[in-house]
Amino acid sequence: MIYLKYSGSIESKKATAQLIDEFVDISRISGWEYSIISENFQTMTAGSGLPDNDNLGNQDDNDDSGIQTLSSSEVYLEGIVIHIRRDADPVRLTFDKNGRLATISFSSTDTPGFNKKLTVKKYEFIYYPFIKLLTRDADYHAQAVKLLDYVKKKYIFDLEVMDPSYYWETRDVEQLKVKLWKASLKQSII
Amino acid sequence: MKKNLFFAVLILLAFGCFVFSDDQPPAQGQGDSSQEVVVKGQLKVKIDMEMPNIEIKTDTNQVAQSIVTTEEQFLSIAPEDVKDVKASLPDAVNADRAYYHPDLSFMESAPIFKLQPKMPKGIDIDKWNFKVTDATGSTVKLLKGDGSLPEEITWDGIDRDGNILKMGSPYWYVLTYMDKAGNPGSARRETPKEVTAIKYKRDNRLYIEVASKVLFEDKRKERLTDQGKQILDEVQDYMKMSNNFPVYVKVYSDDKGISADQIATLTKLFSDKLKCPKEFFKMEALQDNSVPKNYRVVFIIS
Repeated sequence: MIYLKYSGSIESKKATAQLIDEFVDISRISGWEYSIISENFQTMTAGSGLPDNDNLGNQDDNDDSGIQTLSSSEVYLEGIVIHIRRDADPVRLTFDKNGRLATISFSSTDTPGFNKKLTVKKYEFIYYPFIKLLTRDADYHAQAVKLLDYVKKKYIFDLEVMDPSYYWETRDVEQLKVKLWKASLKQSII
Repeated sequence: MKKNLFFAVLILLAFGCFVFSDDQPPAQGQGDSSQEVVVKGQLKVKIDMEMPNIEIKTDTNQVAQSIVTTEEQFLSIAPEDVKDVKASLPDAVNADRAYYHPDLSFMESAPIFKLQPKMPKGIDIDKWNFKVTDATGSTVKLLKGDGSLPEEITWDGIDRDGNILKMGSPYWYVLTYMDKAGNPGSARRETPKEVTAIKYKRDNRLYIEVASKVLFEDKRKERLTDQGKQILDEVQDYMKMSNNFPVYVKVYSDDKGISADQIATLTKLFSDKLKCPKEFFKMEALQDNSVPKNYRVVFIIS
């Protein structure tokens, strides 16, 4: 599977606000859907703006260090999610309270109480100090890389991108297409 | 015969004595039998005059008309640049520089933002977006376009609702674009633009808006600052140039009482300096409830 995994930090809250502001405009002129993320425990458990956790943890790379569980008071996420295509994973630019690119997923379990009338709801928050974006075709992958280029140039100067197709390093579209083809073959065999 | 000759000699002698006595004045100290005669009185001459029967009639309109006619005849044969002088005489107030205090220049005018974007070679812009935001982050003006950027992008200070920008409030712009290859880009004004005094024309009237915080002192809100006095000098220049009264003045504050106090200050100043009756100024005290705040004084000159 081809994906982009990226991490890094933004300098300040002001810069975060500017990044959101600019990507709102970029999304508008490009005709992309977007959603502004401003999450805490209350908003996240209320069901708004929940990040998908399908593609965060159980991937085929072993560099998922830094994943941890959070207490409810530490739940904080701010940024923008850009849906370049409806049928593809969105580009997330969300930051934790320290300005680090991050995503938070959570699960809830309902435990029945003693007299079965009382149900205890338990939340577990998992913090990922990176963002993983699955890309399904070359055009989409290339477009996402262009956005990350812009982000690295203007806002996240220490941005690190892991790209199994090496497109981030080489910008070789033909090589990217071959990698994607091979990845699709592997998936179809499985 | 001898007798006749004798008489003739006597006559001649007598005549000679008379002649010599007139020509030679008597010597001083000598005895003189003649007397000095002084005549006193006024010469009375009666002159009879009659007023000529001439009737003079003066019609001022006729005189003025002849002058106007003469001036028009003169202008008809005058060079073009002289004719332009008459043509350029204002029939209403204009927003050009005031003549009276050319050193004062507190008023800003459109455009508030003026960009001349220069793109690097080889970048073809697909779409662009120019946005002006206020202190709350709200978009007050949005311009969009497809294709290459215009040579100049300007904002005249009028928001999307047709209102002039708020006095003393910060404004920013951001120009965002996407090139044909899919690369985003942007240019942003980092330091905010804050306008404290502006002039603009609307409905053939001159509007001047000045932020209260530069006109009046911070603690004693009815007292003018030094800068405020100078700004009002410039405002008065436009009143003089217009010479059309009444001038409408609207004072916006957080409290109508404060606005009324500020009106009293302005009324006294204008009456004293312009030597005009108070009725020449129609002042209105208003409360401002907008967000962000827009405490200001608006002068409307016809």
